[in-house]
Amino acid sequence: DSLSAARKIMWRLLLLSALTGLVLADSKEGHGHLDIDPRLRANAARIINLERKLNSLKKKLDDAEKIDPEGFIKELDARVTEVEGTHCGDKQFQCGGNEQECISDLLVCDHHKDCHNGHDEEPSVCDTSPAKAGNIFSGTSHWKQCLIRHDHVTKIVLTGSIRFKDFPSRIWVRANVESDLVVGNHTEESSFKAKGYYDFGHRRLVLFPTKEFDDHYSVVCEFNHGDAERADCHRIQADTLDECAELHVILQGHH
Amino acid sequence: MKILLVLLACVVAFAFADECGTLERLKIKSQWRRAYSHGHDREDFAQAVWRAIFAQVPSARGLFTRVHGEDTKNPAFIAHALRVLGGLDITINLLDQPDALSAELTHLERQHKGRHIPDNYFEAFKTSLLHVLPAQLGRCWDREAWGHCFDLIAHGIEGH
Repeated sequence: DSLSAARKIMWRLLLLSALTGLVLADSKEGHGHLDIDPRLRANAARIINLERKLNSLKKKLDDAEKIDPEGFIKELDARVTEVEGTHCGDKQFQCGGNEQECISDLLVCDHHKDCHNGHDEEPSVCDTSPAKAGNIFSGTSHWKQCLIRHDHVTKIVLTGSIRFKDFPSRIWVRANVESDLVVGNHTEESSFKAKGYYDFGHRRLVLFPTKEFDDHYSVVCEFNHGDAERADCHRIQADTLDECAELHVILQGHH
Repeated sequence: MKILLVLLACVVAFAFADECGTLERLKIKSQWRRAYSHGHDREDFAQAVWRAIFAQVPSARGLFTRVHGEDTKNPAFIAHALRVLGGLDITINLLDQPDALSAELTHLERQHKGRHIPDNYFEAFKTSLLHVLPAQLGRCWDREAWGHCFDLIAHGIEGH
């Protein structure tokens, strides 16, 4: 910013005047006329040059932060893993590694190591951040069946969460699911209260409408992009598990 | 007269509310069949239930030293955990045959007599089931019905 730039210029001037003062003091004793030591002058120029290089390096560092190779690799890995399949049953978790072992999702993140390699209790698997109360996820719903609707924005707001000490492999959550529907030439908000759970083994957030909102469809989200910010979600009919709509959501922030 | 009728209706509704009624029994039977599953899934279901019980009442492990309750992964304990769920399975399947159910409950009561099992251990079993069942069943389960019918079975085994 301009302030730090001004400060830099000031420093440079100070440096130069100090050098000049030094040289002047030196020259009074000597030849008595204004003469700057060429070596000092060269050093000053070099320092100024170095500072310019440092600044450009800082800019490059800021740019480098924007591309995150680790996140990129994680995402690629998550996608390849999904295509490869886990070779495990519906209710099972793949321990990964060379052993390729399947364990029940009821035993993932319950503070007992069930995989031989302990993968079921690792911090990366047991990360609770997808199900934190206050999380707001948002994306565009695209309906394929069940309802006739134009694409619209859907927001999932997690309003509460609890994890029981005796059975920690699920986080029980409450949420509001809000949709901005375009009706004629204005938008209407349709929302319902939901409850459900987060399943560590499948990185899956499942939300069912509560009794008073029985006519709404359930939401099932999978955090399959290798982070806790993005999820692929489906609206489903809870009894038949038929898929009605799909939406990809991104964490917008916290309430 | 009208008020009396309304009152009576409320009393009847209340009396039925925390009972394990005919429809609730049928519901529990079918939901249990899905949750109880088979093979490895059944072992894991039993494992989760027993871990949750011991997490609530660690002292309960003391009752199971003979079957290696200190390690729920021990084959002896796995066998025991499955045996207990087997007993629960029999009672749940008999929920719609009252005579056979009471005979089975009498049998189970006799098996548990003399082991001095405190009532809160049965409560821990119930809490555990009410946590693991929805994880196993997803949406289609009825918490109230499970509460009512589990109480019926547990009270039968406790003998009061």
